[in-house]
Amino acid sequence: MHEAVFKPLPKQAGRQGVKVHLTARQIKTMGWTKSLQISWAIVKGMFMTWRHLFRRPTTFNYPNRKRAQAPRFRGIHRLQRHDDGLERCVGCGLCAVVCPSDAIYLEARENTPERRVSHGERYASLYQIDMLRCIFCGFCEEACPEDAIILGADWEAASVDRRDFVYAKSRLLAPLEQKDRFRRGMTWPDESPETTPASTDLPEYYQKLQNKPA
Amino acid sequence: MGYLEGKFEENVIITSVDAVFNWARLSSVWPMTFGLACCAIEMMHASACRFDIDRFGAGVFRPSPRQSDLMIVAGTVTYKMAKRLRLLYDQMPEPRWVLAMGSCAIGGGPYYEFGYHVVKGVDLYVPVDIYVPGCPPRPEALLAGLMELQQKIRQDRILRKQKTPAA
Repeated sequence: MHEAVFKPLPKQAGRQGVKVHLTARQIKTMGWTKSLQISWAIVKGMFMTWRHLFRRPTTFNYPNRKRAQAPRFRGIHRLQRHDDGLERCVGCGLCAVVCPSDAIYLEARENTPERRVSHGERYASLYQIDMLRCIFCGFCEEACPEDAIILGADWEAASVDRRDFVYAKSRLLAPLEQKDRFRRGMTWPDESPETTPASTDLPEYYQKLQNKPA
Repeated sequence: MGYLEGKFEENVIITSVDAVFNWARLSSVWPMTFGLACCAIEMMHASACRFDIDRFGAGVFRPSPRQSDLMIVAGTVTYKMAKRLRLLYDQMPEPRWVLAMGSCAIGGGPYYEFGYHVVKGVDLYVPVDIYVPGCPPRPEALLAGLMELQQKIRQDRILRKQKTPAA
């Protein structure tokens, strides 16, 4: 066992900073070069403050302006429709199974020839998402075989009442006239290639469809 | 207000006094520094220069519950923390408000089903005034929640008698 040997640190090369805080005795014995140096340091500092006065403010004027969302932003869910107005959701319940916080509840019911709601055999007669528990992970969107549920661009949902947060189908379902069938940056493979974004934006499944020769 | 609180019928003077008091209260909602998890990062973001919660008079984050009006519960509240949370809430002077930020604080979030250690909603311990959903909510969402809270404070009845619930 030997004692640790402490070597003195090598002296730091480079410029010494100007020491502004001095004692009364130091100020008395300070030469004029030193006082000039200190005055110049203060002028330099104030110049920096002055320069910042004319910069554009960093602050984003939030309630008056809304920040543009990232194209793949995950906000409040939307249930989508087909072109003919029927609902995409067929009530399989995969979204409810995959949901890590158990926030989705749905009940399925059979389609009848008189009352056809979706293209499949069944449709979701009851579809509720508890926004309080939802963590906006997007698993429901990935699990959905019909691309019926997407996470939209809205996110302002603060409220004073807990009961406001169980979103029923009436709040989730896209209105008939609205045709935002996919999230921004994604599109259906049968659309014209001019409107199709770069293939890296698409899920893997659609990339394969696109690359397949017709 | 103590003795005078909730003693008067509505008239021009009383409603004006109430309006002034409410305006003063909603313009200086001082939050308490209460960051527990990742939501706290967004809370810091909201208080920094880009989203600047100071524009709403709520930028003075106080280190002590005695000086604060608003408790922003930002993050996962464990059972161990919940007792401290309640203690801190009790130490806050009235009028006081609680903002539950993020899924965990509101209702357990992803820990709702199997989280043995997470409180299933902070409103089991303290009365929550406003809920801001998100995981975590973006800074603008917190500002939106704060504005919603200010709308709620604007409705407060201080000198006026409390409204009786419609029978």
